[in-house]
Amino acid sequence: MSLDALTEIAPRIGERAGAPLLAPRTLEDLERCVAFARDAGQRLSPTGNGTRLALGAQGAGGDAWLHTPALVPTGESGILEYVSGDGTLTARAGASMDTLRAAVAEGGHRITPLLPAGSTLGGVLAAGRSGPDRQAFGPMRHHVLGMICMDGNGRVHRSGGRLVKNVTGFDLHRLHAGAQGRFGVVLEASLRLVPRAEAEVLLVSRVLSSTADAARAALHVRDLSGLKLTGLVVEARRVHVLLTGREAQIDADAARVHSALDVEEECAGEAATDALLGAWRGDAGLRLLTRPSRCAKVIEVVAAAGVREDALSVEPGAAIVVVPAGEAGRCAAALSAEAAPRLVELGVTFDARMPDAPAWCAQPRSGAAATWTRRLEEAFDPAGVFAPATRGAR
Amino acid sequence: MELAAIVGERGVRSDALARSAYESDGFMLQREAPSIVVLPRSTEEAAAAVKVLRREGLVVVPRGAGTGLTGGARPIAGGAVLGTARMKRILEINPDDRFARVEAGVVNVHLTAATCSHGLFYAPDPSSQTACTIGGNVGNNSGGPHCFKYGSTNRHVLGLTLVDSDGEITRVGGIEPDPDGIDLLGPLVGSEGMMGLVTEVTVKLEPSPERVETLLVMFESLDACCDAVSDMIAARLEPSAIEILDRLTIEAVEASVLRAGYPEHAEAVMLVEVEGGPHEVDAIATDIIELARARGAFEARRTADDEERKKLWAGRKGAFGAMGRIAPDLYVADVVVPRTRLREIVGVASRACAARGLKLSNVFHAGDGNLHPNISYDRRDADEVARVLAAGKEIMEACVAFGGSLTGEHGVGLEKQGEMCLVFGDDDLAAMSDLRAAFDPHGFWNPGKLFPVRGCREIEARPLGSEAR
Ligand SMILES: Cc1cc2nc3c(=O)[nH]c(=O)nc-3n(C[C@H](O)[C@H](O)[C@H](O)COP(=O)(O)OP(=O)(O)OC[C@H]3O[C@@H](n4cnc5c(N)ncnc54)[C@H](O)[C@@H]3O)c2cc1C
Repeated sequence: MSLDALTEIAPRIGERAGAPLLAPRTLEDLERCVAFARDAGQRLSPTGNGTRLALGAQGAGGDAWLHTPALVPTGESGILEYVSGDGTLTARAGASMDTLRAAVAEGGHRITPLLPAGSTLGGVLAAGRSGPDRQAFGPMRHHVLGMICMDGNGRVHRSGGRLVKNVTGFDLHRLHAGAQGRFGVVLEASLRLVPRAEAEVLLVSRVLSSTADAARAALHVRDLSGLKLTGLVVEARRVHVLLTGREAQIDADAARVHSALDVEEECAGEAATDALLGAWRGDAGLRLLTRPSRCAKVIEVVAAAGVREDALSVEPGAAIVVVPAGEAGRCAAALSAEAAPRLVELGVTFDARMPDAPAWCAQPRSGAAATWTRRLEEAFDPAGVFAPATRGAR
Repeated sequence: MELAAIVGERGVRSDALARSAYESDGFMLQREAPSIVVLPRSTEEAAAAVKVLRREGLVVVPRGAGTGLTGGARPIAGGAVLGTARMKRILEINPDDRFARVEAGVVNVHLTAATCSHGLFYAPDPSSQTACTIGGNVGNNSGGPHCFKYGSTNRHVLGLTLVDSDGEITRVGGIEPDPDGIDLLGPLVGSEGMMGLVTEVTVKLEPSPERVETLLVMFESLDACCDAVSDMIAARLEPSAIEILDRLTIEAVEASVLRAGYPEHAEAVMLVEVEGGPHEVDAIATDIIELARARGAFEARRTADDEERKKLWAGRKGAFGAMGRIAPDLYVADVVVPRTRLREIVGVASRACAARGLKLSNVFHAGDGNLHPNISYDRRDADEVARVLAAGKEIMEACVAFGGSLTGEHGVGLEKQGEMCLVFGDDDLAAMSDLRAAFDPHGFWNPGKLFPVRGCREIEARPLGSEAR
């Protein structure tokens, strides 16, 4: 009954994970959907292209999805402003990342994070996704300059702006980035762009004896004095080093990497970034967050618990060990017995980007942080319109 | 007595002399002394003091070194100042994992000095770095010349310890560079002391570059210098800092003890730092000089000599102080524009000051589009003060009209709260107010700042209770 009323506001264009996919075409439609859900006690989940759905995206299982690409007018790219002379981009949340990437590439820019194709800007921001270029550029949220969002009160609010440097007002956009839509729908965002490099090269080591050894070797490369790395990833026991920059420098740096690492494969030009992205499996699964110096130890504990080492994807510089999605279920079972407490002792925190994450992965906030989060939820979404299905079920 | 038992006799002051020392920060146009100054030595002492101050009905202004330039670190009407001046310990430097953990009162440059023997450095380098604290940098999300490449403070803070208005101690974030989930840390950085007292900060350290060169590029016109910067950004060149100093600033620096060897016959100089591998440095420096010459630069010097580089930077960083030769007081405006519009806003500032008979100098983070039109004045001259504020407002309005904003690094504080409505609407401000209230529902921390008095839900500063001492 109430779903019918919602579909009268925003047409139903399909289904995802058993819930209808609604397509509000205007801000007014969106506002009416939110108002309706608030009054009817329904739960909505903003969604982009659904690339995270298979990974247990929060919100799956709400009463309906709100399809943000529908808010990009038909035939338009969703780009609101690309100031190539300032290195900034502002776009609608439903814009396709692939389209945005292509547009800024023409102006000599790149968007960080480097991520596999298919997602939307809003989806990337809400999910807090960073890519294998994290070594150089840090997490995605560092490149968000401002946002416009609609919260559970139907209130449209803006923070930050379109400038590369700006401290006017509180950084609410930092709260929305990575919040998985908990405080509202991202409508628009501005990003700082990075220049496309003159030269790129990916160096891949031979297969090392263990993933822990590969992580150690990777950190050795990181520590070579003065070497600037764009990506540093261990996949299938091989160290992948991405260098980007001026041609002459990249040649010199590549030579230094060769001297420190038994490099088996090398790939230059734009193909280098694509090759890294092709190899990287760190986007989803069970993420174990540690510190660089403990990566090897964490890998050893995981391996001792029976997890296949080749399955692991590691970013030693960013201190992330990922058990990719396909293996994560099995791994979670293997770990839960005794290794998980051992990992906790090592200071590991868990982030399960997978369906059916085991209960021990959840690390709920406690104390004041829990109180702040609750107050934020009450202020930005008092009726729980955007509450995840697993919590606050009504 | 209760507070003295917590922080020691030397940690509580309510005598007139001590109170007057805290009546302003670097924004000298307005003053208001606190009723009491409390200087804890640890997080625990700070938390215990907060409980007492709250019980006594006092509101609290967190304070670092008081170098802020917007009135953020002084009270609006009595209340307490809770300062970190006695929390100066560097608790940990971890070269393997490239982070440092410090107490909030650690002076920015002391952290940098402590890390360099490990081949690491802390990137945010405000020009006030010899005095300002890491806690104050967090409070204002401070920048500095090298933030052009490395970003402002919020890109370098991994975690912090916060004392909230209930006197509870909470660690937010940790040492992981990319944690998952709701980011409570992000909004706390740059919260201008309005969400709690930061007592400890964990920051990311960067590896020292292999080679560093400083370029001094000289122009006969400030406009041309601005255009050259816009060209560099458009050409996507990546030095680590791009600063501009105009003629009046150059003269002031050269007449001071910080004499840096800037050419006094230039209308403007561009100070650029390039770092990385030797080939990269050479390629970028060559491109920069070529672009600058195309815009009319009449000379360009390159130096990799540490002493010479230090001198050039000391001149830049001491420029505000050197301006004391021009007039007793300096109003340091802080605005941002898209980097395509530098020349235009410099023109606006120049006309706004000329029309009011004010003396303007410019020294700014050009690479970030972050301008500091500096107006020299004498605060004893009420008419001049009014003209300074009017010029400042005109510059801010023009920036917003150009797609810019009110502040790039100094924050809003008391100075710009009235102008917030130029940038944000009521709903935006209400959402920010909600964010603040989630951390501080009582309006206990630094009330009366940032939000315009009209059109927001800022809790009024409460009447002050009896002094706790
Ligand atoms: C000569 C000069 C040059 C400057 N150059 C720069 C520059 O290049 N870049 C730049 O960004 N700024 C610059 N500034 C401004 C100022 O130095 C910075 O804002 C600095 O970060 C303030 O640090 P502080 O320790 O003095 O903080 P304070 O001035 O004491 O406080 C600043 C704000 O932070 C809050 N605060 C302070 N400590 C804490 C804490 N522990 N917990 C919570 N809140 C806290 C205060 O309430 C206040 O709102 C300059 C100032 C001067 C005088």
